[in-house]
Amino acid sequence: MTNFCIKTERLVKNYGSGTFENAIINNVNISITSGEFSIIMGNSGSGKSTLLYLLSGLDSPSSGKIWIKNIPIHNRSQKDLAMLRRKMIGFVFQDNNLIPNLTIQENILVAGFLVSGNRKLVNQHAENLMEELGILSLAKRYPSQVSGGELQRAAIARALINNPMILLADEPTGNLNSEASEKVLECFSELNRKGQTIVMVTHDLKSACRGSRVLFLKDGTIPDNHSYYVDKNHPGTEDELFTWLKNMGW
Amino acid sequence: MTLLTGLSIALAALLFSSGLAILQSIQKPFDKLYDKLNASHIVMLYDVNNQNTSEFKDWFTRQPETERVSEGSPYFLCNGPLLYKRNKIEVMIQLTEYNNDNSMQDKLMIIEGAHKKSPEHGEIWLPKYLANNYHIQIGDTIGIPGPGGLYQVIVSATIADPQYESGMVNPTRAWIATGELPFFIPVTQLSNTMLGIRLKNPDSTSNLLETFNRQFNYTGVILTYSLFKNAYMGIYQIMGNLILVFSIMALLIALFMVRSSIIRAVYDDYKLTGVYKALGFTPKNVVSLYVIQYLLLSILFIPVGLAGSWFIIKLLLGSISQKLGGFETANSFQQSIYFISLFVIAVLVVLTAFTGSFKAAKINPVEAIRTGAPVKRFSKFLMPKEISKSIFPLPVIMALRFLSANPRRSFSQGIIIMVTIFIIIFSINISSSFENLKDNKPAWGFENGDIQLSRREAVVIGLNNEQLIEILSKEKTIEHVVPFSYTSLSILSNADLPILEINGKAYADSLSYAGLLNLKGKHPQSANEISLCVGTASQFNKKPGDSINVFIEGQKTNFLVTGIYQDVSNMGQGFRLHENAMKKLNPIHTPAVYSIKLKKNTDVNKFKNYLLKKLGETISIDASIEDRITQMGIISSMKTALFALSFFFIIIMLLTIGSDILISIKENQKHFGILKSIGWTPNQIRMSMVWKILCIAVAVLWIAITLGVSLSPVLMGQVTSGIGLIKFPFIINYPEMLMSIPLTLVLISVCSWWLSKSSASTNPRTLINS
Repeated sequence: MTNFCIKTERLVKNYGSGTFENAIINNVNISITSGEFSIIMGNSGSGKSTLLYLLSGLDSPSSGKIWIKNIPIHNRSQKDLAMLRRKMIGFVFQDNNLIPNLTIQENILVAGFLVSGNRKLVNQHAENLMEELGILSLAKRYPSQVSGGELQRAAIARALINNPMILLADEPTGNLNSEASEKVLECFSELNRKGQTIVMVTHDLKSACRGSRVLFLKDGTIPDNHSYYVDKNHPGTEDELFTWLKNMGW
Repeated sequence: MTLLTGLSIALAALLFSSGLAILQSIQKPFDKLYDKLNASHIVMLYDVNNQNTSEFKDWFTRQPETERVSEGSPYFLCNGPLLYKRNKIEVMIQLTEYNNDNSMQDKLMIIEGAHKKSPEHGEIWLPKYLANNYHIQIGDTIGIPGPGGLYQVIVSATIADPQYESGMVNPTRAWIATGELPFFIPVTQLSNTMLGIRLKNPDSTSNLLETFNRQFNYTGVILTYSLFKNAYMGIYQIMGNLILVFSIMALLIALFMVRSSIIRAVYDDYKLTGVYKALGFTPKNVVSLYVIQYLLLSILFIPVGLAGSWFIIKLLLGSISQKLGGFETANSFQQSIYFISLFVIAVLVVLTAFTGSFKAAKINPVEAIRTGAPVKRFSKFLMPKEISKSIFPLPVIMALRFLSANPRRSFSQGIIIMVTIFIIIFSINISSSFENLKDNKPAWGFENGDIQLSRREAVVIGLNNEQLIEILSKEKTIEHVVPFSYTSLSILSNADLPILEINGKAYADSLSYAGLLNLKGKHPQSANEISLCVGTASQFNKKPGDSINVFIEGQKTNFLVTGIYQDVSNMGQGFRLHENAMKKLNPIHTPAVYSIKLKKNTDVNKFKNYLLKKLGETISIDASIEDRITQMGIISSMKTALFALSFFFIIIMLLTIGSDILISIKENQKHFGILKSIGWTPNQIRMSMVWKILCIAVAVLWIAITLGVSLSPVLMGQVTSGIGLIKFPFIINYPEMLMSIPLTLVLISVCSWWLSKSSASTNPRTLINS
């Protein structure tokens, strides 16, 4: 096995039952290497979010295999998956999903305290993260008291508090305006520059160009030729990506 | 959730109808039996040498209130003990001759045995409760001690004798054949007669007696219908009242659950309700949806509760029936109780549903369709204040957050848990107080002696007071002896007319020596001092320092009231004197009863047997009050009722915890999904829900214990004041109470853990997207 972070083999996820059973993810084989910034794109209902949830262990496949590093996760108990998510995976949701009766800082801490018994250290780390992400001044505020972009950055801080191996993000800028989106995407780019492996689902072309590779999910599957490597230095990347996506059926 | 709510409604219905039925039923069987057997409302017991029977008969017959006057029946008061299968039965028994007149008035109902017109020569008819208590069967022989020795009679029947069925009227009464008494009692000693007066309306008893006492200088004993009824009803009234009071609490809790489940349903159906409104449903239509739902729920579950109450009522009435000697009680309560319960509870449930569903009526369709759920507002006063500085584990931190985010619900939950723990503590300690009566006798009005013996005067060779005292003083195992005597007096009105006859005691020693207590004031010491029982004092509005005119030992006397005490033995009526008072009125008065306090670690039964062996027929040992109360089944009945009450409330508490957990899971589904997504294990999430309930329980525990310990005696005092106990003799059972607390917490934890299962098993993605 090569230096992969995430690998799937014949991954299938069905919804419904009997005659109404429908394969939303149908025989997906992907491999994401360390330090890669992978983008998953596809049409509405193509199963992008489902694929992301499967990769994070938040959902379980109907069949097939998933490895995080060399650890198979497709047949793990909920408890094992939770332990895995603590230490190896950070997840950023589209609508941040911060707990409303915890402050911004507390939302980050409840994730951090799961791994480290040294609460003082975790608190310090949380404050450092918040400062990096430009939200330290919002530490004592509740989610209802801050803007969407700031919430999303708080969600990113929560996802990073335990130094996860992989950061998964499900349309993190989906509910944000362009200014807020830009700030969030800049965070992701910065993290990737520092070596963070990121897998992001998006339907936005500009966001996709931040990545190093784009995977196109069509009819629940990603064949080998559904990959596009992004050249950030190339000025026409966005247009080329657009053309490629159009050819894929986007 | 619907099932839980329905069950709580059923439980409330069960308790409510049981309480009503008990209260309604206890009187009916007694009254029915009384009327069926043409029982006398006034029973006069007197010595014919002092009173004129024909004068009394003529007078009562002429009164418009009188329905019938019986022929006098001779009786002999046997102080016991009866001998049965080599065992001694310590009872005082009034052996009464059954005559032809008993076929018209004061009839007897044969429960077991041959149905004859009267007992035959050598036979005895016993009250059913007495036969049950001592397991006496038809055909058994019992020995009755008489002046000439033991007289053997065969038990040929057990009977229902309404005036004596409670077992609390002492002495009790048994029936023998006409002309039987002279066979074993010297004729010179047969001067006691019993006369019965049956009234058209028992409510006219006191007026009639007042008139009678003005006419005649009557010095015998008068027992009335109200005494008999109170003796019978006392304990069941307590039970019935308790069940009813707690049923109202159960009902409130059930209504709380109805309201909670409606709130949850409104939450669940938020978007759907918005859609209905968009389609044209009016607010009234929306409200009626919920009202009809809960009306149907009531119609389904209330009958379940009522069916359950049928068994409870049957059980309790069976117990009453046993006390009444098997008189049919099963259907003595009105079927209307069921309809009343159904109606009351259904109306309350529907009203609660109606008010609870107003929230649904106010839903804004646009907001509901767009957001899918109501905007959650949570309290600003969240705990713990700073998670980063908290020392608690994460599940506890999250539990405190959930708890403080919804203070109203946490408060309601706390109230329910507090009430349940209060009831558990109440039940444990009240049961214990009854059980430990023997260690706390003075508080109940009794002497603190371990043995009470009576000196027999009607024996060939007896002991006088001084002789007995001398013998007892030489016993090394005796700590002290307090001689006393039973006596009676009539309280006089302002016009010097006797208006109430009461029984009391005169003590030869300091009353403190007998461990006796006062509620107010002090014990009588001199010849002109008296202390009154609380019922008597209240009736005549007397307090320490007041004076009272009485007729005692054939003389009109004025006493100074020095103290007020409580005593359960005569339903709150009575008095205490010092022997000095008796000697002043009757110089030859000597005590005949002795309360003996033994030294510590002395075997009481062994010493009793020793005394009987040593002193033989010159003494009789009276049944201890705790034995009598045990035999009457009072303690076991109370314990059963209290246990059932605690059990019901624990069920209600668990139902409300279940309801709260299910609502919490529903409301916090998304949060649980988020927590799972960041690495919380299912068990950690479950533990946060368990900790939430535990934190509430621990917070209210101290309040519940404090209230339980301080309010239980007050509550019981209110309930038992009718039987002469206004300050309930409360004993705290620390071991059981302290053991019950962790057990309750464990039960709460286990229930919460089990119910939180659904939150653990659900897929995080499903939770997040809910």
